[in-house]
Parts: sequence; C-alpha cells; structure tokens
Amino acid sequence: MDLTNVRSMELLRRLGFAEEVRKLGTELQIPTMATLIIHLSGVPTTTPYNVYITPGLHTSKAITAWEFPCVEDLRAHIRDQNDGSMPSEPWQRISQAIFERYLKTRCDENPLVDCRFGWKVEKSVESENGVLVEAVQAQSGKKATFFTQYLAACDGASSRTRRDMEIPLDGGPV
Amino acid sequence: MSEVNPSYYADRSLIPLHLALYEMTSTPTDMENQENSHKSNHAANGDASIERLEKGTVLIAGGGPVGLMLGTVLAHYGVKSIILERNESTTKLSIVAWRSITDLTQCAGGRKWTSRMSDRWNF
Repeated sequence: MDLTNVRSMELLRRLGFAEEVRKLGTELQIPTMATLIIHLSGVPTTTPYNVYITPGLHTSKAITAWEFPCVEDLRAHIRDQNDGSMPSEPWQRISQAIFERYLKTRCDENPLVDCRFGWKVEKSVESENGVLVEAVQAQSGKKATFFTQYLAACDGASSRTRRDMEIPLDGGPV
Repeated sequence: MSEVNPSYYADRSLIPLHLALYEMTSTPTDMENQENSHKSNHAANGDASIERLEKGTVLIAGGGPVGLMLGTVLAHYGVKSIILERNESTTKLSIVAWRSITDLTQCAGGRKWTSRMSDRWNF
C-alpha cells in the first residue's frame, strides 16, 4: 500500500497539509445512502508499517519481514530521541488516488497554480534562454506551444521530458 | 570528417521544434526583423501560436503526486506554475481494490450504490 515517507510528510507539514493528509490516510469515511458508514482504506495509527516478503499468496508464512513501527510508536521514538537525528514527522500510508485528489483540490483553489488536465507534453527542446514545449490536448487533438524559463519533468520513470533532454537514467531495470 | 553525435538527431520529430526555438531566440537584424515580423510568433508546426510564460513561471510536465506537490511547494514560495497532465483526472482507486468492494455490495443492491459512490469519489 502506498507510503508517504517522513521527508514528504515534513514537506507537507511545512505547507500545513500534514494533519489533513494523515487524517485521510488514517480513516476515510464514505457515507452510504443509509446512516451506515464504511471505513475504506484507512490505516490506524497503531498498525505497524511492516513489510513482508513472500513468494506468493499460496504460502502461509513470509520468507522474511522488515519491521517498522506504527505512526504512534515512531512519534514517541522521535520525541524520546530529541538529538536532531530524527525526522519531524512520522510516515503515513495513504492511497495514491486519495492523496492525488487531495493535492489536486489544493492546487485548484490556489491562484498561483494553473492545472491543465487532458494536456500531454509531447516534445521539449532547450536553449540558453529557455525551453520550448509542445503539448497536445488528448480529446480535441489541439496543439499548444509554450516558451518557458523553467520546465520541471514530473512525468514519471519513463519520462518523455528526460528523453528529450537526453538525461540518462542511472541504473537499469529491476 | 567531424564526428556527429549520433543521438543528436536520433528523434527527428524534435527538429521542427529546434528550428522554432532557433527562430525565436536568435536576434534578427532590423531588415530581417521587418521581413519576418509577420511570422515571428509562429511555431514551425502549423499555425499554433506560442504561449510565452511570464518570467519565473514554471511549466510542470506531469500532474501526478510529484507534479501536484511541486505546484503547491512553488505556490508556497509565491512562484506561479502551470501543470500539464495528460489524463483528464487524477489517479483512480485500483480496480482490484474497487472490485472487491463491489463484490461485497452486490448482495444489497450494491451496483447502484457503487456507481453513485464512484461518481462522487472519483474511483
């Protein structure tokens, strides 16, 4: 299940989002048509963040396990070992779908962020003064060209931008 | 003979964009300027005009967790950004997890419930 690590949680804390993200990861409540409430995908703060290594679901025992503390235990450990070696926030499990939807609403309500979904970055070339980026709208096939000082490649492991900029990937396939 | 970097034009589809960028960033003389003024704001591919972003604005390719996070971080420091994401919406809940929920709810008229919930919660 998707993990937001301690460094990301520290960043979210600085932005003032850490508590809301933790709440969304801990318990997501979906009200049904009746008064019934289903708790979906929530991970209680007392559940250890262990990782079990197994050859498959047909075996009853894991080969080995990496044992990591739950949110509450890690928070206590951080508090006890106050020597600057600890992160300032524990990690948090939260589904990527829920996390992205939350961040998207934060972006949408922020006047400094312009979210243009349905636009695919096709090509990019750079010069000393800036980057020329070509994007296409998936539904209409409409093309747009941008000239920008900065282009941030946040398009994943098989990044098109990385390929266009000829930035090699360290290592190889796992 | 001079060595040509074989990877330079490996992707030939980038050539028109290279030409457009060259046309934009090279400073033409006054005479050339007058001659070319009518086509100066056009990319090499068709008639799509170029959107010049304000100085300091960051264009972010990809609206996943990293792109959305970067947008909020930049905004925190007062920097404008435009996020381009190819999908129409954010990542949906995995089909495996959702199917197990729909299986559970089949018995109690769950089909209607799940479609309503998926509309509401973007699954």
